[in-house]
Amino acid sequence: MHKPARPISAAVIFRRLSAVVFSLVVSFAATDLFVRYADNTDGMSPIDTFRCALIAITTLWLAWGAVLSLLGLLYIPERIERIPDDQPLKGRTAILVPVYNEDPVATFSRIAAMDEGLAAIGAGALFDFAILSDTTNDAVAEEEALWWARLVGQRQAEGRIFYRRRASNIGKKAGNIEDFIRRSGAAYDYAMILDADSLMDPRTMLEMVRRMEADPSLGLLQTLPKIIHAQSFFGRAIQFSASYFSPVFARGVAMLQGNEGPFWGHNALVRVAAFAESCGLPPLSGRPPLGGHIMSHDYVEAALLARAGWKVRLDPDLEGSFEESPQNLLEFAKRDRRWCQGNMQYLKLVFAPNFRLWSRFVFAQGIMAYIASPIWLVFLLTSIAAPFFAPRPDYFPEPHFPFPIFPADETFMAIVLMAGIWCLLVLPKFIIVLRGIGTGDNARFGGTLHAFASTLGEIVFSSLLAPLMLWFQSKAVLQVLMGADGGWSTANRGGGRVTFGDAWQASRVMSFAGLLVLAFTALAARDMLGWLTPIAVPMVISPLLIWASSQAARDGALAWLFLTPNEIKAAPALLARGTILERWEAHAPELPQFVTPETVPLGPPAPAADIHAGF
Amino acid sequence: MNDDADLAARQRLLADILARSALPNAPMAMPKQVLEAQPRWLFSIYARLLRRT
Repeated sequence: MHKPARPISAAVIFRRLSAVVFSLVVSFAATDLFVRYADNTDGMSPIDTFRCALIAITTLWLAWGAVLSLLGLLYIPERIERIPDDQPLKGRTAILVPVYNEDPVATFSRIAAMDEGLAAIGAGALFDFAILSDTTNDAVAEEEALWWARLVGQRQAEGRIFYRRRASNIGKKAGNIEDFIRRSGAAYDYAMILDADSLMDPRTMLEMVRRMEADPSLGLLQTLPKIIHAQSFFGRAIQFSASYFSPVFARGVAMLQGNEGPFWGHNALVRVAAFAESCGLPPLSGRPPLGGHIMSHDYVEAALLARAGWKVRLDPDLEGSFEESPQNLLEFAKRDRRWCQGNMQYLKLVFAPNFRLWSRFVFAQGIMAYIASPIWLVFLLTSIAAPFFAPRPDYFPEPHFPFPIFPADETFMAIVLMAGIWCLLVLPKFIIVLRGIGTGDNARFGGTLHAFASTLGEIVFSSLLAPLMLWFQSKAVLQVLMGADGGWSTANRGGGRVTFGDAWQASRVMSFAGLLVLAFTALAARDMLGWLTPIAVPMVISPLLIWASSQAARDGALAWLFLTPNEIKAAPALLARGTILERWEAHAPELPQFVTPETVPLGPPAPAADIHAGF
Repeated sequence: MNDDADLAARQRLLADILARSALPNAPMAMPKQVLEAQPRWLFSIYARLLRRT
């Protein structure tokens, strides 16, 4: 029996309640403004009442995002138990690297760097690696096996670095991890769950084990991964945002987490016994997209651990945790489609038995993250339609009063409402810049001027892309609700430059829709034109935006924008991995003795991009 | 060496690699959790809604 997690503190309950109340108050204020605007302009119609409900939901969601960042700015670190550095660790850790048709050279070079790093700090004996392949492409799988042999030969790691390929990838990534635990879980105390593109500083991994070993009730410890290696304008904007803003949001999450913190699926340490006893995921009833295997398994696993009495915690102070990200909007939207389907499955779980209230709330947030887009879309469409449903103006509401009374011009109120919504989105970002001056954090981003310019650039860029994301996410939600299964696509986090033809192909319907909205509004609802232009114009030029933002921006005129600390001075783990990758790309390591070139005519390793043929 | 022999040799090699790379044999039970047993009244409303979508 494990030691059950302590009940959550009164401080956490107070913060949670305050955050919810703050969001409700903001939502109420916005709705009240909207009611007054709609009522005073041309009277409330049923469509206005519907719009009020939509504005209440959307502003509640925006306020929740803002409250997380505000809480992050007020972050109070908690005392964290850890085994002191001079005391030896007892537990053994398996570092799990699930792969699925990814570039083996890129993946294995990360493993080599982490293994070298662990050996350098004298912790090599505490950690094994398990590369868990769900690769379906035989040629890629062959390369994986050969690179395993090379890695093992070079690191003399037979019996310490393992590789296995599943014949059938039942349960996708969650099934892959589950398969490992069923076969080998008893050999380890902890498992560091990574993604194929994850990289972790060895000292961070050791620190995580020290923290987990010190707290027997801790079931899962999550880090905040920083995005690295972005090359395109799109990728670098996301990378900057993840590096500059996300730590504050993560601290906000940590302020509210109590024992029910988040699991984001990778770059986290789990206690194997806790995970095994709590996290066996059954397929959901019914067919995909809402039924079948659970796609966004991480939130569910976090909820299950909490349900079983284990503590799930995000430690935002842990540095040295990295991942890569899609380099263009189309790859991003493809991943989002998968996540959308996974999060919509929470509709089946949000009322499942015995989950903690906070876990249910997290599921609801997961659903809201995607349905917010179609709600905004419906709001926009109903706003265009509203003038046609407005009651006829009554210029003589007072009987026997001889002069007409004209409806008030409430444009100012509408501007206040829009400004308020905009503030919820951008104000936390400017506060983060101001805070960076005080803490000196801006220096790591090239100085306050750079940080401020990058923040402005990010706001403009994300505002331009917001209508595109609204379109893609609304489409994804609609597809899921219509029963279309998006499947499981390989993540492509590489170069990712999109041709104009591909961008046009992917967004031409959106472009026409934007044009249609502009034309209709200009002809039939001219008052709305000013409000809808910032949404419709990016839709019209979406192919251009997708194409242009996928272009390289690491060097050249825009290199100064979106600078991140790791671009200015790379972390040791990144340097170590970069050196290995360079070495391997110049000259692949020798195959070990047990692979005999005399008996097997192996050519040079195929570059990952050229791997097409089946084996 | 012809293509068949090449293929057979590569398959032998991969089989050898996979045998050497095998995970430790240390099974651990991982029971499936109960997730969907929702309150009946709620489930019936909810199921109807989901079916409709």
